[in-house]
Amino acid sequence: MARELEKTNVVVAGLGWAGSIVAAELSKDGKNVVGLERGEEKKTEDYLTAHDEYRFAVGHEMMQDLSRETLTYRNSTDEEALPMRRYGAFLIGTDVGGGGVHWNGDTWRYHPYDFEIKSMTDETYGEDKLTDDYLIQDWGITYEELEPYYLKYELNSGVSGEQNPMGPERREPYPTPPLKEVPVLTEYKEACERLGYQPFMIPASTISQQFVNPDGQTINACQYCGFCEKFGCEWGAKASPIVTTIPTAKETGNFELRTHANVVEIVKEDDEVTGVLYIDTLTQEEVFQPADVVVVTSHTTNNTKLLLHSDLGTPYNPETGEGSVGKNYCLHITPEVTGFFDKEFNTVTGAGALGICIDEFNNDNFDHTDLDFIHGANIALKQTGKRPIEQNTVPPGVKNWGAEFKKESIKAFTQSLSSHAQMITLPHRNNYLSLDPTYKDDYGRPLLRVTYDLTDHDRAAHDFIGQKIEEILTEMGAVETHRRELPEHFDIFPAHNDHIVGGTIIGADPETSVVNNYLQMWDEDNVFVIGGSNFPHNGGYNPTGTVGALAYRAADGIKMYLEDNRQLAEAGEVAGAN
Amino acid sequence: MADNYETEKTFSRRGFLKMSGIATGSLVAGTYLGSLLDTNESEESPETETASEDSGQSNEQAAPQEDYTRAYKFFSKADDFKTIEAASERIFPEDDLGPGALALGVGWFIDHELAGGYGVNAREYMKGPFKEGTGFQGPQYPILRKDLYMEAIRVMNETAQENHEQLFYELEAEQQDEILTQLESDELTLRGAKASDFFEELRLATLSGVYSDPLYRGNKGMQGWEMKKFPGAHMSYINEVEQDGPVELETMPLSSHAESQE
Repeated sequence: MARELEKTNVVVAGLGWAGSIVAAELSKDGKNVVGLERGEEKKTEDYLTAHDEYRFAVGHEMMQDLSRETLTYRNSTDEEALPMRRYGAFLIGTDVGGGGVHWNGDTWRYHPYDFEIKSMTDETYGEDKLTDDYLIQDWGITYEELEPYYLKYELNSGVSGEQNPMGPERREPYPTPPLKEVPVLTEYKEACERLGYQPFMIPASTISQQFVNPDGQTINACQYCGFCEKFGCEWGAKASPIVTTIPTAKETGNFELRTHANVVEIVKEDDEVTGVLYIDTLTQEEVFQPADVVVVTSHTTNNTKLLLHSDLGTPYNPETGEGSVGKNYCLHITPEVTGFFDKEFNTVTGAGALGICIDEFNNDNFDHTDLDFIHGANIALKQTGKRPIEQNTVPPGVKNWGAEFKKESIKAFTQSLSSHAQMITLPHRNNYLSLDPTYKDDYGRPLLRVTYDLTDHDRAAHDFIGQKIEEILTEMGAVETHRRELPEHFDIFPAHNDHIVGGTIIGADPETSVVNNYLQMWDEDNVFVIGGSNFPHNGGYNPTGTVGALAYRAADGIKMYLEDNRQLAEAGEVAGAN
Repeated sequence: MADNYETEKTFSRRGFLKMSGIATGSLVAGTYLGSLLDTNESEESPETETASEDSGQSNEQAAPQEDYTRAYKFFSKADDFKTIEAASERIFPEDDLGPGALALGVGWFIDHELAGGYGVNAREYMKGPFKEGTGFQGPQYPILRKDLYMEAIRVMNETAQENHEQLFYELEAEQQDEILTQLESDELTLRGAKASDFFEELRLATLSGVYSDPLYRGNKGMQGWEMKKFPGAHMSYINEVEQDGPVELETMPLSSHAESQE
């Protein structure tokens, strides 16, 4: 029998960006908020040991402990899913701040095209551009409607950047100027310009100068130490929940942070959600936290898992296409090309989001009439800081051990550069999330099962974009290039890109989406679900900026719900549409 | 003891400040790092301390301490340990660029890791049932790494005995490479895992031992880092990031900023 606690206004399950934004906004508004986090509390001073590649990058210290819970994986429904026993293709953050602490800091707005991808594609290229297997759909909210929330998130984080020449015009400049244009970026920029492109600096939450955000929190200036992705920032110079939203929530006096609390079920009694059940991971005690509103803000995969465990919403069925929980699961397929040069570069310094990019082949910025894919990718060169254990690239044809390997890998550490793209990745009817029939977590609950394979669409886009990247590196002076190729099936083990989305998607139609444009569940008025899990597809940019914007939008929705306890959207209504 | 305490404390602060780049003028206020700087400024004069410490430190270094950490934590027999040392040396051999895995202490790194969480797959999902999988589902073995290493060492030495009547580490480099290639291409069979998966495990462990912080017992003298022009645990490159070409700074270990009450 679970121990029952005193009721609160809002309980938040998971304290990454989404959960901490809701916690900050609601506690500022005078609501009592309990934040539940399965991991530990971490602060900036916990990362003074951050410059330890073996501990954090190889050892994945900031990621979910897979011995306790993981997911299972298969390429298609006719295979048996098996557990992801070790980390590889994607990473699942844990501890206070979640992925918002170990991220690189690229902070983008999705393009207006992303939010209306179905109707705009149909309008421009006809309804037959893609087969029915690709479940692209409009988001039920426009860019215009989400724009103020993007701005709020950028101000919270002090984002450094400049106007994208091919993006919508910003109403306000970025809070801080772009990061330093270091020599490697200048060379890439000039190569892009010679090819007729318009390069610009990546918007970054590893910020260029000290910034005090509207909540009074200070984010420091980036020191370019080269340890961002998979690491916490010892300078407090990377915008994260632990330097912005968590302190803001705490300062209100209305927020209680409870760590080692792993939420395992959203509790529904007499047709109404009444709170959450969690396990104290230090004692294994079951605890019931009643609340007026339940906000689900864990990792993409765990958001869906929690809804499925709690029997909320209708599970997606790939046979019939009915149901929406678990639908539109997408990875981010990332074309990457390595260029080998006959000169040495400054490769160990850098920042997670220090980079320069082009948008000529992103969104609908170019004609797709004769192409067998839609949308595209932001193509970039970043100087994130190379680290020696994981950076052992060698030119094609060189064996990966022995005398030649040693010589070539050491040479390539300073003489090779990789350029990559954040590429559109479309939902497919066969790629989805469900519960595993065999494997269980430490608490005896079924693991989440991922069914996923690469699609023909994404392969076509990957080849096209890969070729464009190769041309830029060749123009930049690479003597040899190596394009990463896609395997026969998606392989969960080699390191890849951990932007994984979908499963609890946003939309205007309760039949094909889980949450409305306020991230409120269609089926449960007092449950809000926020995260990458809301994305109906993965766009041509890193996803975090859009997660942040959606979280601010949801915070407004939760405030409205607490006033009159109603469903905030009507089926078919698109927020921001004229 | 009291004297030691003070020395340790000031040294580590000095190292920290140096690494963090604060001493070269980039000041960060309102953070833990900022408060550390404030403390230093108010309690002591970093410049003077630095000067006097530097001379004191070089005297200490004139009489290096014997390394008492070179004892087996996981392995029990020298033959087994030397087999892993020799195999890792073939993966990352000594050459004109600098030392190989053996001299860098990779054997000690692996010994240490196998005795800890790495050896028992501590943070991996190890619940059954165990099935082979399609090849796209990642490793699916019930065997623990510590047992897999011992199994591989057994097979490597049996193969060496059969073909050359010697143990693996006693063979010529080319003969060792031949056995490693047989592992890599699954021409040899291990109980518990594909030989090629063990080989990849050993390859990654070797690179980790070469390039991880010396606190893990490999990367001796930070020479792994130096070969690669990686300056170690510097906390700021604000003054170097705009420079063209590799950064040339004194190589820094993490131990430079660990505080202790010893």
